[in-house]
Amino acid sequence: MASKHVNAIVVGAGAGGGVVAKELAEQGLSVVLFERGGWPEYDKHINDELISQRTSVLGAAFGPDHRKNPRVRIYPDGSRELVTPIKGGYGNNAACVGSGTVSYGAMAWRFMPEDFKLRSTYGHVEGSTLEDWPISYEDLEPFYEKAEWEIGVAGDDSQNPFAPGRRKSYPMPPFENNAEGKMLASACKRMGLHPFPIPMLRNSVPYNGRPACIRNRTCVGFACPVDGKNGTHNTVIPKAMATGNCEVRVHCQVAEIISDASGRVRGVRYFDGQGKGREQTADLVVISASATETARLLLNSRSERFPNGLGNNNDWVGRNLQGHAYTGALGLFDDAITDFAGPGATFGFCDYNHHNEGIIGGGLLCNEFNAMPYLFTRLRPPGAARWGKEHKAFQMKNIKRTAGLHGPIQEIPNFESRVTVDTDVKDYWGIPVVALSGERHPMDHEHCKWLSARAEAVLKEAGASYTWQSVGGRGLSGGQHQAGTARMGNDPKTSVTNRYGQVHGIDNLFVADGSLFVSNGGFNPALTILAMGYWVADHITKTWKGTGFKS
Amino acid sequence: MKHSRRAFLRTGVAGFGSILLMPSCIRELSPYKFFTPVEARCVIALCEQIIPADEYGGGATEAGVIHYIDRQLVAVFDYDQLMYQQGLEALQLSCLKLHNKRFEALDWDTQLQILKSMESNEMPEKYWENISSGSFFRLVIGHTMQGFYGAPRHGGNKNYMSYKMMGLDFPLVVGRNHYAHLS
Repeated sequence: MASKHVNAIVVGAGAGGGVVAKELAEQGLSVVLFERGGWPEYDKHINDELISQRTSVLGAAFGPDHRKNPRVRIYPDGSRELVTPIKGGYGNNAACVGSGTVSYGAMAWRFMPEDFKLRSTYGHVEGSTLEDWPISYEDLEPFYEKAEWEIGVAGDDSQNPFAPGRRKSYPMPPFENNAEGKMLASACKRMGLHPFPIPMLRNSVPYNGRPACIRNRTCVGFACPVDGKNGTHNTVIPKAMATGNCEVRVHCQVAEIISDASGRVRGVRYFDGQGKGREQTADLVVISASATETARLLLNSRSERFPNGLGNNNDWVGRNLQGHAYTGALGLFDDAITDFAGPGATFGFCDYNHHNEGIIGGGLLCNEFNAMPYLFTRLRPPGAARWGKEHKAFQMKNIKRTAGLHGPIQEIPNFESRVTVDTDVKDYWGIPVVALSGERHPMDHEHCKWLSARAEAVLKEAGASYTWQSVGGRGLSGGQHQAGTARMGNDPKTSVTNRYGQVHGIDNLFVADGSLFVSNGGFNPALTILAMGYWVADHITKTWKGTGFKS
Repeated sequence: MKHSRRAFLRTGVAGFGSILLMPSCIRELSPYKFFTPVEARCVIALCEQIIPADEYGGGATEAGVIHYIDRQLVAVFDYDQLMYQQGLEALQLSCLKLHNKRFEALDWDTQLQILKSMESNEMPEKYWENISSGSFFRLVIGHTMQGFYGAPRHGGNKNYMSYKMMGLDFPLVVGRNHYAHLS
């Protein structure tokens, strides 16, 4: 049975795709939203640390199935390793309706104006593809606002002197600090820093017909038991469906984008929930499958006209894979200082984002998300015992006496950090899988050392009896904050899409996720991905004229 | 199942003598899905060293960590079966050679010394040709931590005993503004 032709296909129901599907459906386009996972179910994963999005040793709570979705990791010495979503180095992002927005910590950061102009702010960096974005903060500002109000953000940035300009305040009041947040924020103030409540995609008051957050300890890494955490699965995707114009097709694995002899795309080939190969045609296709899977899909869509994959005439698809090198410090205090009110992280400060001597970009620092007991076994000072009597005593004595400050450092993009497709390894459906290779730019580790030292200074000021740094910034990039693999730009020779996410040379193929990012900011990227969804959809709906595009 | 029986026949003969050689009996007698009873005794001793009973409360044995590992080895961790078989065999051969006893029969301090040697890859190489003692030990450490601190529904952390020791309340829902009194 052939599926009915539709106006638009959106591949991937995460942050970007959920938004695009809703915007197109509301404008009257018929949409099929493909998702390789299913709808998230809270009851399946309640409080189980070992099957969460943070610790997936017994399974990736929100997908994908670890037996069906291998990847290949290529090390600097050329050796290769098969990895699965429950092993390190896979760079997993959730595969379910809502994707990462179901289980994230829900920080709702806007990038700063400088984040869109790294090259003109800091100049050329050796060994890097550091560049300005083709769009500015001002271009994206209205779409940040839309994301904040439609998905729902609680915050107040009036205490943040580095906050980018905004026309409208947040729709919900901020969350208050937890116990250790209060203590650390006071220390920040004594040091002349500027702490303020983290803007959160969670309800501080009832919003959008759903209740307020209950400060559940198992928040980050888990689905919310009261539905007080906001993602595309409980906001824009239900809205898209309510228009009657959008069908969400779950458990469908899209294998390739089909293009015709004229060089336009005409739909996708996919496998349905029964593993049966099918085709869906459409006037236009939007890919929002995450930086790794979007790149994979473009690279796997080969034809006579596009022998290297779609959008890849100049070998830029899959390049510049970025994520965030998390870095910071931890401290032990004499008394119990944490109350485990979820999600843990309550305040941040932007004093170390931009305009710090010798640092390109920099990064945010926040107090930490709750470390559940198994995760806490890995938080130890250098040289501390990892097992035995000493391990256990540390665990029992210190789980409530430990506080940390961490943040995502601006990674310096580089051309060799990349996604390719493996020619030998296929997934369950026979589709060539993602291969990840390359390493972070050496500067990242230096930046991390600098930011970790700043974090440690705050912990000392707060009265920690013992402190240590956890310094990131080495090895493979990517991970849950993956970005950069289908860079937007004005020059088709050095980018994959134009400033609207439209793939160069293919007017009916778009990308709408973190893949578009030229750089990944010193912030958690979710809100910027949501805003980019609105930005791309805005362009599509404004230029769409039935089956073609207004010039 | 295939792995399990072969492993029993290999190490079981050395340990128990001939009384349990009938495969049909083994299945009925063993409370384990993967380990033979002999292997299990060694793993239990290993795990108890990794998380011992102490003044805070019970250790890995009491928490049922063995059941966590055993259950996962025939499920999610099936790819680690061979590593356990090779690791346990190498460990027992080393102990028999060095101390003339199986690992679980050694006194506490001798066991501890053996584990420290494993951790730093200083075990006799001729018994550890197929597998590095350090990687095997790290694997068991990880699994023991998961079994002791993870959700009880996977077989370990009996009655949330580790949570109780850490002073963590459960269920884990913390009421809104529960923390206000700390301000």
